[in-house]
Amino acid sequence: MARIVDEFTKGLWKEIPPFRFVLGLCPVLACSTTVWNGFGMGLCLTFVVVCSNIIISLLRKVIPGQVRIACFIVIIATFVIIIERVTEAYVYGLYKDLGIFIPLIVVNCIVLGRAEAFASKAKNTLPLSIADGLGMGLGFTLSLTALALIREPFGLGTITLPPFIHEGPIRVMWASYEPFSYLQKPPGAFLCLGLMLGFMNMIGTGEKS
Amino acid sequence: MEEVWTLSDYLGLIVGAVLINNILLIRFLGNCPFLGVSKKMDTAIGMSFGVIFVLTCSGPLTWLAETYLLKPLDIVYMETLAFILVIAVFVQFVETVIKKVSPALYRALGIYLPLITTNCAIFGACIINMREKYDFFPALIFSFAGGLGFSLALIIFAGIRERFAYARIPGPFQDTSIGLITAGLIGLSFYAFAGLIH
Amino acid sequence: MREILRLVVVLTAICVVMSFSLALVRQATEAPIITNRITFIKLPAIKAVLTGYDNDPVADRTDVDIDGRIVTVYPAKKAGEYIGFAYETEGEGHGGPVEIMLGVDMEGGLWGISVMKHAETPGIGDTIENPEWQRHFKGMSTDTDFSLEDEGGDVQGISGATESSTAVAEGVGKGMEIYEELKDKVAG
Repeated sequence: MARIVDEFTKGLWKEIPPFRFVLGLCPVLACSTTVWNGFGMGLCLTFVVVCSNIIISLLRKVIPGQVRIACFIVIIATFVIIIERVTEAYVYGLYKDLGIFIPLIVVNCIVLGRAEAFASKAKNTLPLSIADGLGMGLGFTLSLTALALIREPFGLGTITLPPFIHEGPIRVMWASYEPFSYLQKPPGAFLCLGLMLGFMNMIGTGEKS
Repeated sequence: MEEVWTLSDYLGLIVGAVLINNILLIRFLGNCPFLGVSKKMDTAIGMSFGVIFVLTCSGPLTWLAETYLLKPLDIVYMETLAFILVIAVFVQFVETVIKKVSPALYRALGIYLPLITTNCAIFGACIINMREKYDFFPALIFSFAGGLGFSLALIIFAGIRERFAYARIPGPFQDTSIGLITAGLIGLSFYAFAGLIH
Repeated sequence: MREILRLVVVLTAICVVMSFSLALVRQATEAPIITNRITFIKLPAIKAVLTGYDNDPVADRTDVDIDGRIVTVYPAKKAGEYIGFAYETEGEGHGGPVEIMLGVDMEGGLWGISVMKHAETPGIGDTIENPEWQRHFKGMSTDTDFSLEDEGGDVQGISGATESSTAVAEGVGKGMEIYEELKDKVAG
């Protein structure tokens, strides 16, 4: 049981993607423009990594080594397509905002990485794989949301919550605030992420990059 | 509707993909290997060749798969699966061929090939071809230009990063952190190109 | 030999199971997705050409067969009674098809048009996007002569954009021609 908790929490700080575990960067930069985009993207990826970890873990003794990458890809792609359809059907605004980054989950290093490094290993039982996937996915979601919590308020002056909580963006800055729109653009994303990474290294207990 | 592309349309497409909407710095595709192989110039160049080659071939291949397989069977929603399979099989095929034909080349570039399979830039550009509804030839050109853009950003970056070895950077900001910050500043300079196409 | 057999069997089994699940998911999500796609692309135009309705034109949409062509009709209703329809039509423009949304009341009077998509020359032909010009279609009917004033018709031409404005006029005219048949098939 303690092991399960360990595997779960490592994704939330010690090995949090993408800061400690520098993988899966593309969506982090592209999808952190608003808080809902960041949070939503994180949830989509968490869904995929948990589901694929479950299936791969269940089949880990059956999948032959030579074709394992092909099998992983098929399984992961299936769940990516499922989440694509589900978002297009039920949260169309998010689907349109995230654009190509939803199908791109299929090549996200986090998902394939956990499948290869963890879920497919014989010694890692199903509950452990679920914990691992959940931890990594939620850690990713946390990182994305945190980055978005800087980029949106300072870059647009608003915070956008999920549509089922509140429709439309909420102003959070004083009326005459001039948005620092550089943060919303790609260069701003890189800069923000770089600074955040630097600060996390400063306060972190893990090894310095 | 049959769209006829003129030479200036193609030029615009290339300039757009390489400079204005640079696939890496503006569209955010291909960041993982970007930070990983850009520490040294020779790894950057190796990766660049790999990406240009694979992308220029994958773009048209996935386009053909969608046009002649997915659309007629009405399974376009399985694009994600089909494309990644095409790319993975193609890369595997290339790796096998290179290994047999030129072991020297394989030693130089071979290690990048599996990395390229999961490169967001490759998969992403193939999807963009479909979303923009390009015909075959524009898709081919866009794929090639995307590869060029990626390589351009990568090589500039590697050039700068090699100089980091001589700079004094505070501990926590070393390596990846300063890399990202630099990428942001380079990306900013690419904004100067936005005025090129009206 | 046994190894290869195992490889093939496992891989095939996984593919089959995954494909099956995908087909199920696709079925389940097809309806909401189509509604979303239509709403996103067409709703602004539908809203621009219909007035005084209290229903959901997209949700109440029906497909009608006119001479072998399927036309999607978005009905406007008030208190359950039909008050008008929105549907699409097309004209042949300089750069390709010009897609137009029409809003027509129960007597065949045009509530308005909305040019949705076109490939006309920017700065010249795209003046057909001008809301002022589009508004002058309001009030026309199935009796209107949908050719340009220069040709003796009732539609104002746009100077310098004859081909584009003719395309719109043509498209609207074609749409009005099928109005009676459409009305019968939808409202009975």
